[in-house]
Amino acid sequence: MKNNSNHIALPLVLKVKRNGCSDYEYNLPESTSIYSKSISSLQLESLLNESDEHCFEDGDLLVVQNSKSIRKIFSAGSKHNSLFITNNCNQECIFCPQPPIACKDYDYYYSLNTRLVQLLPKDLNTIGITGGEPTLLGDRLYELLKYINKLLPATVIQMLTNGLYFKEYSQINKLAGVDCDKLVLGIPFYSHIPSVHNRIVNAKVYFGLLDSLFNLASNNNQIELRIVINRFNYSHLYELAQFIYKNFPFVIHVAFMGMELMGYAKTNSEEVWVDTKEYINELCDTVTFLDMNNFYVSIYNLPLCLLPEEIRRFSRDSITEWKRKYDMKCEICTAKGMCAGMFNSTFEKYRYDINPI
Amino acid sequence: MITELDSCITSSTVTDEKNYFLLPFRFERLDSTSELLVNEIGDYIILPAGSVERIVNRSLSQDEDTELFNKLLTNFFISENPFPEYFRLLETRYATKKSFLDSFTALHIVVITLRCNQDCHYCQVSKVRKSDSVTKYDMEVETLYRTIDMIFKSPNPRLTIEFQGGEPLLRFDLIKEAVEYAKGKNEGEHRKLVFVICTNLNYANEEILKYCRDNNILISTSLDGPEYLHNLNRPNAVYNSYLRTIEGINLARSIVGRDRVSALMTTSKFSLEYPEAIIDEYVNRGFNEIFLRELNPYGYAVKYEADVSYSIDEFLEFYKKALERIMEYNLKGIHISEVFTQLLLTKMLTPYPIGLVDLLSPSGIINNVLLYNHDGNIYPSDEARMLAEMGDRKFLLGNVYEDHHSLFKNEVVDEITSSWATEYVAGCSDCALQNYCCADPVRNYQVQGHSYGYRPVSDHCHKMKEIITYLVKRIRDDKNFERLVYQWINN
Repeated sequence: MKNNSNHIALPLVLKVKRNGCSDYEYNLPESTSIYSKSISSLQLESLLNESDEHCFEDGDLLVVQNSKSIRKIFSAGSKHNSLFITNNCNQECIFCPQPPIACKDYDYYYSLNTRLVQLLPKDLNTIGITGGEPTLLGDRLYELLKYINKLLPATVIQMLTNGLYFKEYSQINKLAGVDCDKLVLGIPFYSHIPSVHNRIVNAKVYFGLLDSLFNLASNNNQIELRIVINRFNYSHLYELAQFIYKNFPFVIHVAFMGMELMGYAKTNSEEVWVDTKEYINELCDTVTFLDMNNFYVSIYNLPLCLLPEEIRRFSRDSITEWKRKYDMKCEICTAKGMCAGMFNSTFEKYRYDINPI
Repeated sequence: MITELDSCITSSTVTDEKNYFLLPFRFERLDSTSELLVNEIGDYIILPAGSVERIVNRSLSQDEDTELFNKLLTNFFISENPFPEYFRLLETRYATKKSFLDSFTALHIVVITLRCNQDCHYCQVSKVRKSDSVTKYDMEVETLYRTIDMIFKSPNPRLTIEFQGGEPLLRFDLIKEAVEYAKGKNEGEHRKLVFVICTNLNYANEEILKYCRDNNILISTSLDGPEYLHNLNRPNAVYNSYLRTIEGINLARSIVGRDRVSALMTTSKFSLEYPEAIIDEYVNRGFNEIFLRELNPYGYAVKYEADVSYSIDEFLEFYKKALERIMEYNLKGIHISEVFTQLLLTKMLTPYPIGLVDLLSPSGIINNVLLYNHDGNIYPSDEARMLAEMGDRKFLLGNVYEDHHSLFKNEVVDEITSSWATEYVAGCSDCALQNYCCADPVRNYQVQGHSYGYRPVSDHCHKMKEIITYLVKRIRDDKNFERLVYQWINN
């Protein structure tokens, strides 16, 4: 292998073709026969055999990490592909499924993502931007967004951010410079009660978040509010919806999300987990209220059979294929094709309550 | 020695310890068990009786009354800081609610002629006979041009020109002249122009209606209810006025388009007995909106008061019955809404502003509407000219031959503006319902003799209070009604 160790190890991205892999390497446009310089076909072969990612599809993109392992970073058959920006985060949400790691990974992922964008299919419907907290990348995030918008003008960019970066109006102007009308910002708003939201994210950010939302809205950015249902907010979902309706009428999408029991959520599950049956009636009223008031509403990550019939239409196929699990019972369910399923991590919580439709 | 300043500081330290500060809000006892609280931007909450006292006496604690405390905090009744951290949100909400003030006058009513072919008992504009003098009661062409010129002096990017009478279709030639002139003027200006003709449709024919269709002209007609009632209110010596109206509506719908023809009803003394039949008539005629309009104290409605007028309480009873009928239809899946209620509820339940001239504070007159009479005189509202037709030109602002600015720099406007906002008029400024209400100097003057008005005996005040609290209670007590309400306001 022998990468030049004086430089950042540039990621090697491979695109799966029908018969094995053809190679592309970052930053080297004359891509033919390049991989032999950094990794031999034999090594590649053995890495692919060792890889945890067993089934590769035509069009999948793989990254070779330090010539030691291979990871799938784009799944051609999935609707849930994202560019991962960083492991760093400036919040510590009490149920974060993927706790932040403080590390200098910005350059690596920036290089990787730039390369990835070049290789994404031109007809891609949606690409996510995620982390960690993507805005920690700073100005280079705008460069990346511009680049995506240039190469994939028809693709919706769904960026998950805590939004705090846009508290400063100068960032709104920079974001406007991206000039992308297909950018949606998915921002968590866990509670309309300042102390509850702050408790959940472990920081006094509520009013800063409000400033961010108004800043973003003042420049017509598209905002999706994401509400993970947990023990701190489940009892006042309806009031939360009323607050959104009256104070954030500019929001284009409100998503209520079942929790993924990974990371901090797993550690803190006693404190944060709440069973669906405890809030389902309230969720039903809440979703109906927002829908009645012309909001686009979604329910993520909850099995369809746990929702009352009148709100099943708001359920979305939200769980990434490799994290998704169904029970044996689900095999006879007529609605399986429309069901979000369960997370691997929540399967045990739901499996006794589910009932085939 | 404690100076006044010191005691101020002392008391603020005390409140600081108590954990919260009061934001401006108004309140009223709703019934024996509950209180209505309304904040500065018009959101309301209902709390158990005695709550206001506890709030004001700082006897709430965040730890013990967590739920109530959070409710008050997130509905902007109290603040944890003397300078509320929600300020930006409140500022945005307030500006949105008052954004009807942003662009100045949008609605311009032009009285083409005062002559009319009908003899409505309650005529509020004191119309004259069809055979009366054209030179005396119709607008002259030159005056019409100057009227349009004056309308275009308004900076509003959207202008609605509404032709009224009398019966404006008696002079369709003038309407056409006005439309062509306005369109010509608009060529360089690109404003959004909307025209409306308020007509009994008796003179509507294919030619007229095709012109309306081709020139984006809306038709607003009068339908008071079923045949017996309509003909009682709006009689004609020669023909069946109801049948003529229905024929007109059908013809207008077939040519101009169903959604471009609307109807208004006026509640006469006769109407009071038929709330259900009136709603039925509107549904049967395929309308999905009705405006239950109370008779205003102008024109023949005053002259023949004993025959046509009624008390506010009689109207309220009628209104509630009609609303129940509307509710029944909606529950059956037939959509029909009451426009006044719908707009009132929009003020009460949504963050959005409304444009209905009669429900604004500061008042819609001048800000949102001006009226140009057939003689070129300009009034701040339709009601002000009704008063003028009764012989009192109290609210005359000027004339189309004068300068635009002079219309608004005079003693009449000074008097109007000093009494046109619920925010500062005595009896309104501390009323819990003032966000949803309006001040009406013209009506005050007509009914009470002075434009400032006196709320304790004001029938307008009585009506608004009754309707608003009725709606608040209905929404609280009836889930179906609440749903209906949200359907209306999102339509």
